[in-house]
Amino acid sequence: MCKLDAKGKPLPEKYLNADYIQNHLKKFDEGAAFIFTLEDIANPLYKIFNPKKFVLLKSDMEKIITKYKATKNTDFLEDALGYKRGSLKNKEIFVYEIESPVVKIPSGNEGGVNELWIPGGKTSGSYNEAVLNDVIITHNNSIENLSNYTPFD
Amino acid sequence: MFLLGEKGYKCIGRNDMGEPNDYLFCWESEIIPYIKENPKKFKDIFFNALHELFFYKKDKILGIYSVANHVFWCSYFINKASINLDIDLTEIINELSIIVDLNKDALRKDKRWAGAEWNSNNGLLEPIRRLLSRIVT
Repeated sequence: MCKLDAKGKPLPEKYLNADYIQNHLKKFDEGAAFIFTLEDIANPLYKIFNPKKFVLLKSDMEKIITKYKATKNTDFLEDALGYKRGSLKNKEIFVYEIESPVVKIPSGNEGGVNELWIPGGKTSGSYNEAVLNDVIITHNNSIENLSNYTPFD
Repeated sequence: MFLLGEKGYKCIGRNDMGEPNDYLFCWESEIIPYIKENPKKFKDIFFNALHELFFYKKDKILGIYSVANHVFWCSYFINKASINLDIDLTEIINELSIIVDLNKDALRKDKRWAGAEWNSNNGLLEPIRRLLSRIVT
């Protein structure tokens, strides 16, 4: 499964049973969260986040934040979230929380999926992930336009 | 190829916008370190590469889009004082503006990347014009 072409991964419904998907998505009733940096909202080409943005289970994000605060090691953070090493180094990081998120299980065909992506709704660091199902969050290139965020540190 | 993200040169850090290249990660992981090592060489190499991108035959719109992104991030990191670079972006921005006007119909029809319907009512034309209006030199 992991060796399939990144451009044509099958829909999760083709290889995951309905109960697994339902149980996975049900977990997100507690809320979801994603991280962002000031650079992520700086480019005027975009005024909103990707409506199919990857999100983590809120409680998983809390575990990651707790562990990160103890070490201040961005390698841990990048591994946990499935990002390339170095992509969060020396950055001011913020957490955006979403109550009652509308989510789907990721297919791997979403924008920006890297080679660390694995099927089944877990990051390569084994935390629960999903993608927003066409949820519009507008930032207009300024953090002042966002409400549900907190600084990571 | 590196600036475009083609032929094995695609940078993927953590951008989840479905971009042809993770332009930000390119700057942070490759270009800024290169500038710090080669501050005098960079200007000519950069402008020559951007002028080639303006006339990228395989995908003209990708070329224009990549120029817009690289000019923006160059401006951003200069203004953030992440790089110390004696470079004036005014001329390349003016050229980009002219090329955008010349290609406005094709840009309007192009729904890729920032031109997706969830981000724009006018394909790539609206976001690139927004970028041009906000870029700080």
